[in-house]
Amino acid sequence: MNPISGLPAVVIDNGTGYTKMGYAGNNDPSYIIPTTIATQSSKNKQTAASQKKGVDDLDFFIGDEAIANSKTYDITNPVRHGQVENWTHMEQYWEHCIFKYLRCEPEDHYFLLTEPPLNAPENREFTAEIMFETFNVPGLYIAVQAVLALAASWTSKNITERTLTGTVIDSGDGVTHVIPVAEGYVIGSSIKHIPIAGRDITGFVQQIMREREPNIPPAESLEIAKRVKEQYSYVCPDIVKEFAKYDSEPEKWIKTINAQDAVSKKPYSYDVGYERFLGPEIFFNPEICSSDFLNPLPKVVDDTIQSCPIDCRRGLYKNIVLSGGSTMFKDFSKRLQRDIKRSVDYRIKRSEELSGGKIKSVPLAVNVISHNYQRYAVWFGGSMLASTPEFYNVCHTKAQYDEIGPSICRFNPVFGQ
Amino acid sequence: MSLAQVPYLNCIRATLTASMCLQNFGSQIVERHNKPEVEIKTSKELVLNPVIIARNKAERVLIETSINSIRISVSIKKSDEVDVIIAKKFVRFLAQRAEHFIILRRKAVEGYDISFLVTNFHTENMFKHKLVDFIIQFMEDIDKEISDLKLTLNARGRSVATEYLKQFA
Amino acid sequence: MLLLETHNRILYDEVVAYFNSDRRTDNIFADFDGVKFHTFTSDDKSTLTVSISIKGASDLLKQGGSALLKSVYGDLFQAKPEGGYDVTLIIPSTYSGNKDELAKKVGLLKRNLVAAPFLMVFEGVESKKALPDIITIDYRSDESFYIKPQGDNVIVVFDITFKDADDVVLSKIFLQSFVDARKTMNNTPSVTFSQKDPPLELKGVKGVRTGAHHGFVSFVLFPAHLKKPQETADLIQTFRDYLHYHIKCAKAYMHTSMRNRVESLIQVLNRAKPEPVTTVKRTITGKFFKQQ
Repeated sequence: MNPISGLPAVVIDNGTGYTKMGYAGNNDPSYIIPTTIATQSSKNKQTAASQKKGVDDLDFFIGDEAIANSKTYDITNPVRHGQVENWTHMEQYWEHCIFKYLRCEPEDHYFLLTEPPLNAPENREFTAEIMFETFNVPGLYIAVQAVLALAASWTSKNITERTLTGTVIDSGDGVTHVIPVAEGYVIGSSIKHIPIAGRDITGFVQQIMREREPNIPPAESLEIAKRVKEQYSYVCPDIVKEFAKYDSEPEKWIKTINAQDAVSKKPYSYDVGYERFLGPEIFFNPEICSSDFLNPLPKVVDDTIQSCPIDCRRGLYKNIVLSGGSTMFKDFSKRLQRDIKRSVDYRIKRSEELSGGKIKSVPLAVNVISHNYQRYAVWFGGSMLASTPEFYNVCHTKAQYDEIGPSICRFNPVFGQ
Repeated sequence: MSLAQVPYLNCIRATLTASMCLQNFGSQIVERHNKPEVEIKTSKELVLNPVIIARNKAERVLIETSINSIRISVSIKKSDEVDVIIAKKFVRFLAQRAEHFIILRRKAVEGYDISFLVTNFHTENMFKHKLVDFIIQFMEDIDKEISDLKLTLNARGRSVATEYLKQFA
Repeated sequence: MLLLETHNRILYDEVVAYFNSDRRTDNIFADFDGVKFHTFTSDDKSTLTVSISIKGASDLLKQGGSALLKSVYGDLFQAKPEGGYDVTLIIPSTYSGNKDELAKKVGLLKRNLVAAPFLMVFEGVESKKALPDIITIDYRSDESFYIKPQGDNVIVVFDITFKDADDVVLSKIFLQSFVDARKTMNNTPSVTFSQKDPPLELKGVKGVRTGAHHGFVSFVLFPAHLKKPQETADLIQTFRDYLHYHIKCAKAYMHTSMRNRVESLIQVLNRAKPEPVTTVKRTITGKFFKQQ
């Protein structure tokens, strides 16, 4: 709680696709809306001279309302690849977040915002400039998304100590990142990206079903693929055995779904079969859907950790944390843990053999942590940290800003351990 | 540009063109150092007399020259407290982006709103007359921006108030 | 968005979600004017409790708040609020009426509470009932508003303060526009505005704050406005937030304009840089020769 007004802090996570916002201390964000803004067309390049009428710049929409108004307005995303591209749009976006959606007086609330790893310090300064000068916020903290995802994993039952060392696997709709974090600081040089994420799974499921189920109307195939991915998919331990299982008892595993065409109201039915486990399988065997990228996720995670400084690798293996909607599949963590463990054990065995049995290694623990808040892990971690009293000590305050300037926000101390 | 400003800006332009005669000059004190003499002022013979061009009490320009660098400080016209605030905000905004402006000094010389520091390296890499053009343009723009912002602020106030009161009727 | 909305979207969503899903929730969120809401479902999910805390609640409740809330929310309104909060509503899952209507009604909880004294005075003036001389509501820790019935009219005075010195100056522009705009329009309340010293209406009222950072805005509401009590109350109670919102938007606009100006200035500066010369010459043997 804010020491002066007694009100909770505001937590806003502006992602590339969706913005999650709400009040600290809650378990769920109050809003999850697209990071999209609809502004009046061809009027964005203006200086004061061209706008004598006054309030044209207030005519805009954000989120779902922006998409609903896409016919008469220009739609843009102020955030690209995790970073803010257009500060004017971002400032307007925040304006609506605060006054229309969260309905709070920004002068009464502390703010926690997020940034992607490897964000430029200048961007933090620009954020501070907007937050302190336009909105007069009393305090601001800019947290790294991966660190918040780590903090969110503390809610898991399997966690014994609260550490900010670990590997974050963040998989949303567009890209999957593997980000190693040591004691709250991102090891920037070792971050790896995989071009496989939620959208690819949906596309892959859609493709299989289109080939097999001619009954599905083409207009609805994407929606159905999404539903199959979200409701029926899971990760299997062994793809060959799983096929055999389905073939021996199809009635048990294959689900038939009856649906109705939205336009013609004609009923049709389709089966949900192998795609239940084949969809998420592309993380582990990418060759089944793409020919450009062939490294399975467990190998990428292993490579990432191997490229980190040697003294933090144990901690990174011990705490592999999932974040983002595309990591929500059942048994995703089990399979990932098993595959990583396999390659780690092989490497240890090999080195013992090579040393001729002279060197014995200490066993290495591999843990993939799964928890209930994976989908909004970043926001949830922010909500959790911003409700601790420590948060108010590490925040940059308006008084500091007025005294020193935006440069105070270049550095945001790690806390919460 | 308002007509009344023309002689003032012309005078600055002429003075700048004349005074921007810079040459490479290494430090006399530390070997292999090269510092803008106008900033460190270690030696009297390297620094020339500063010039102040003033249009009135508020609007004035201070030009300090030396052998390898020249410092131009501008004081902006501020007629009321709204102007003061807009000028303050704008100057802070510019200083924040000094990196992109290359010749902009991050901190203004005392008594002025904004300062530029041009060294011989700048004049060697850039066209001198265009640099002078930039400074003149900058002074014009900043005045224009402040008066425009003030106008829009008033216009905004009017439409905001009208909109609110309209709802009562 | 020019005018602010009066209902709370989160609160509305919470009530709708309560009827449509069987998840347990426990949320705390805020609204303008330092309002804090707490919503939670009971352990067996049979009720949803909505509580609000606001400064000056005791005054608000006394000046028509209780009566109004009782009439709007009926049985949902609890006589004894949750600890730490000022008003509590309990919604049973068996609620039989229109659920969307109810969600809308609950979403307006803060509005109803703050509008209550206005509505009471409006009605009192209309029907010529005896009213207190002046009602003072300290709705924020350093800001208050006063409602004073005067004959057929009602005078509402806002004591507005700004933490930031720059905002004081910007607010003057806006408040002056309110005074000026009134002159060109019909049927609007009359607006006056004074800095530092409270207006005459507040003479003799105890605890009025003064100082350079305080501004006083008085609205004189005429009988025509009191004929539409709900709309007038909606507007008048959002005044402070409306003003603050637009001051912030004005500052955001200044940033936009300055950003564009910086861009155009950088272009001018870039003209001073000569085009990079990239001449690649060939030596006599036909090899490329690049000047180092």
